[in-house]
Amino acid sequence: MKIRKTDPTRRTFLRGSAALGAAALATPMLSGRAAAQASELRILFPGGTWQEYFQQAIIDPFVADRGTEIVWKTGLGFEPLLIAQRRRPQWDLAHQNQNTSSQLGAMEAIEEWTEENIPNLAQIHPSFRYPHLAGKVHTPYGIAVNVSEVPNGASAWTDLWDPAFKGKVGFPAWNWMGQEVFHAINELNGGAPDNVDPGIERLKALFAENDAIIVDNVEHAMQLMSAGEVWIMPHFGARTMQIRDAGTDVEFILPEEGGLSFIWNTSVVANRPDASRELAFDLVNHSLSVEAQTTFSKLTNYPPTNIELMNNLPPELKHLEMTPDEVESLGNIQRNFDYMAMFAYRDEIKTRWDREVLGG
Amino acid sequence: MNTSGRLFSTFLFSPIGIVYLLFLLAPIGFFLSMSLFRYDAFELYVPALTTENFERVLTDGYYQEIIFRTLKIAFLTSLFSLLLGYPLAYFLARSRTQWRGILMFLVIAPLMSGIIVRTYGWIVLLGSDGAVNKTLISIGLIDQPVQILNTETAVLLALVHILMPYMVFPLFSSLASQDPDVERAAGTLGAGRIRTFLEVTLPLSRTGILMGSALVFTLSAGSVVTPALLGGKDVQMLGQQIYDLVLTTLNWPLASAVAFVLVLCQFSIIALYFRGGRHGPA
Amino acid sequence: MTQEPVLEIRDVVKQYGDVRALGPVGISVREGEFLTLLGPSGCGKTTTLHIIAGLTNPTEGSVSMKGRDITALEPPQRDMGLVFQNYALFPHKTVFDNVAFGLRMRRVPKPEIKERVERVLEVVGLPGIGSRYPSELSGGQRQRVAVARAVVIEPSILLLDEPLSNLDAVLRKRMRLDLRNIQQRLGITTIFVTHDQDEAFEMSDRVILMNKGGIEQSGPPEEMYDRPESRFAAEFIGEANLVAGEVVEVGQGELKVKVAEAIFTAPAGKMTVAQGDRVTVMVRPERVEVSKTPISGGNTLQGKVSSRVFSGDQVSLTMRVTEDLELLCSKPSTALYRGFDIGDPVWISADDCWVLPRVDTRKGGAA
Repeated sequence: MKIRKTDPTRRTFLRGSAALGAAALATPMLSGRAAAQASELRILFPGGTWQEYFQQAIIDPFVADRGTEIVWKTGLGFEPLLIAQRRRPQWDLAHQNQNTSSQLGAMEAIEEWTEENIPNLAQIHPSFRYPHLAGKVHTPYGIAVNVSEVPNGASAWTDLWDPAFKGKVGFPAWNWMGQEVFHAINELNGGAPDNVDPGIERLKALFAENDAIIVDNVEHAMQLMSAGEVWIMPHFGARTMQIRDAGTDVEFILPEEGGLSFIWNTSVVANRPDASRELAFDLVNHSLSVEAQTTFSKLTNYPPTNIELMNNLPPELKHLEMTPDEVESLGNIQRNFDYMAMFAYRDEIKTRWDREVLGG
Repeated sequence: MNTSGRLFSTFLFSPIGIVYLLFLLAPIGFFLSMSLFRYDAFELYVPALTTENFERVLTDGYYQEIIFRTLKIAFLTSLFSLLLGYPLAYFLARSRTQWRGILMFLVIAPLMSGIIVRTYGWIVLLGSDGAVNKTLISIGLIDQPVQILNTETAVLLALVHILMPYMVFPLFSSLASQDPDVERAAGTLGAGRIRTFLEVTLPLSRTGILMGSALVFTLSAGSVVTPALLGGKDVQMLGQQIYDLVLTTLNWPLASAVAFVLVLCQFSIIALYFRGGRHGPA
Repeated sequence: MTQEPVLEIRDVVKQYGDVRALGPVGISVREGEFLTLLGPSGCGKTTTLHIIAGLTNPTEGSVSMKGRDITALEPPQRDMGLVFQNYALFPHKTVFDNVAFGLRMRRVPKPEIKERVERVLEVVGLPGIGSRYPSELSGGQRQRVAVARAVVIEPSILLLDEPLSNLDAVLRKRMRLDLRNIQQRLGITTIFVTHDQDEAFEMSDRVILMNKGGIEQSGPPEEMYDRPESRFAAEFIGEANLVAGEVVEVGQGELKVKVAEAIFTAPAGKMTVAQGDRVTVMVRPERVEVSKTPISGGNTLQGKVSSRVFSGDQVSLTMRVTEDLELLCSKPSTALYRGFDIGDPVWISADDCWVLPRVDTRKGGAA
């Protein structure tokens, strides 16, 4: 299958320049309080503590400054809503990661991020910048390993295939992080979104020969690792620490082939009135600032993405410090992802995953 | 207008009729039409009529297997819920002990914790180091832990547990509404306890059995979380397929076709069931 | 009586925790008898019936049938047919299957079942409705089906638990006669439970009046009506003027009792009394004679009409005799009795009267 929408780069370029024109006409953003700016922001966001942190670190200072009204809709899986509404959207911002934002970007449901419309983007480390999103924090992703069961630990993605772990290997469900990890493995084995044979081959082996177990989400991972059902699995760094805090002797490692990192932020919904879009960009710009990221990192214990802050971490955030090599390693694989192609081939790839990997 | 026609029009204009129309028939109509559209990677769907989605669902061995497994698990869940729930409902309906309130509470209690929490509870119980395996080993039934997690057995166990209230309450209400004198009458006419149960109590609880089984059947056929968490890769059911197609793959036309097949299976099996279960005026 | 009773219950007590619901009571039932247990709700009549049927176990005492102790037998082993107050028909079975049920349980061959069911449906006056369901029948029809179902197994005893109370007044009256006819045609020993005195009187050979878990009195209806042994019996059965009196003379087979200023002569009955005892004098309202002209002689009082109620076939007059003595008189609404108006002075005579104890003592008893 070929990507039918021809040359998305050119299209986004054209749309980008249009946005640039609009931005140029509007009052410069840093001065704030544009006469034409909207007074309300409508945000799609997951609930829970993540929303509380977001509110404290980013929304509250922003609202205090601008007097903006915030309308929330909380939940998960808003992508279909955004796609369904993409011609006449009702919401200004939606919480996304690089994968979903790239998909929505491919469908023109959200705005592209540029230094013109988001000046603070210039301060974000390239490992955490994507065409339609940049992280306000990032979540390092590698391997969680139970060191009481596996005293030698693990060092690479290839360790998942170690026959010693047969029946005790976890792999994230496709609709959780499985898709990402699959593509990473596929890339590492010389594949690409339009050639997933290497990835399918490897994962088929993981399930058929090493009896891998599907892990559905963070809580499921906690359950399976705590119960000793899973000894080793791809996982988030901070979540691995939570499993350790709950009493299981697990360690988090960044694989030597390169780790992954997920970035999270609110993407800016396309086709909204100019005034709303500007205000949304303003909020996003604020979320990337040193002040906002400092507060947010303190609340979440996730490392910041702002280069200035990364280089000058306050003492209470020192434990989040990463070497340039580590940061570089996080961008290693994903930076090469062709999200557009992943999106275009998603149905075929998922079908092969279901039949060849899981059904094999 | 004949009676059924009048009943139907009354139904249509009643508030519940409107609710059904808006929230049941309209969505079914919506996804039926969606299921006839063509999938497109970027546009999501193109409104060009096609049967390719249904062909894919119905002729592909992969989906056939999942449809069969879904119906099998739904059937077994209903069967075991009925077998386990009936004695419980019977006891609740007939007993006069002060424990009745507590037992009722215990039956409802699973509904108070989320389905996810309950499913995680089963992971703890069914794991190779879990209570079930430990018990089986300690009583000498097995030497090595057996694989229960990520099997159909695990899914079945958890579904029976989670859906038990939906079986017990219709059964309870049909048993409790029975006139106790009818059972007594059978006794005075010479029927022993077992005959009385088979000839009187059981047939008179037919409505409860039908309602309970229909509820459990539909709910288990549409379950997503339980098979995902306890069944692993080998116990794929239709609900998960739909979930993935809607939210991850964004293949809505195929998702709609799968959903339509699921709803159709549920409707027709339940229709058959109620037809078969109907004899004589109630 | 030389004949051995069909059913005999002895010293039966039913206790629920600390509460004694029944007894001790003893009842013996003759072959072919139509016996009624009559009493207000809570008197123990249904409990007694359930103990006979085996639906309730007595705390103490025994039940025997034709000389055999059946106290420990379950209902299916007892040879009785029970008709429930709400009929308790099997709603999911046709009339035929309802009636055939007991025969099937007795493994009667199919052709015989068919024949007997059809015959009994004819006896209860419902031929040809075997294929209908109970929900398609009227109340009276259901009641007959319930009777048919109970009698088709030819039980030694038929038990009827208020079978008429769910019917409307007109139907109830007709069903009394029908039930009695069916019973007589089959010659089946029947125990009937009711709180309705009219039903009890019209249908029964013998009535057992129960109260507070004990037997108050038993006997044929006429005796129960004419010679109640307690205030409770006098008041529960029919209407009664109950008037305070004092024994002034105990004679041969009769008593002289002072009521108000008058002296009443009454039969002595079973009661042992002495001169000076305070007693109650009962006069049934229809046996009170009333006249606008003076009447002389005994058992006579003088008063004024204080109220008058016309109810079609009857006229009821209330007459005030003294400050705390009123008498009720019911008479057919002939011209003679319609002629009384409120305030008219009247002379009252009550020749047919009966003496009761002033206060009831609790009874256990046997019948």
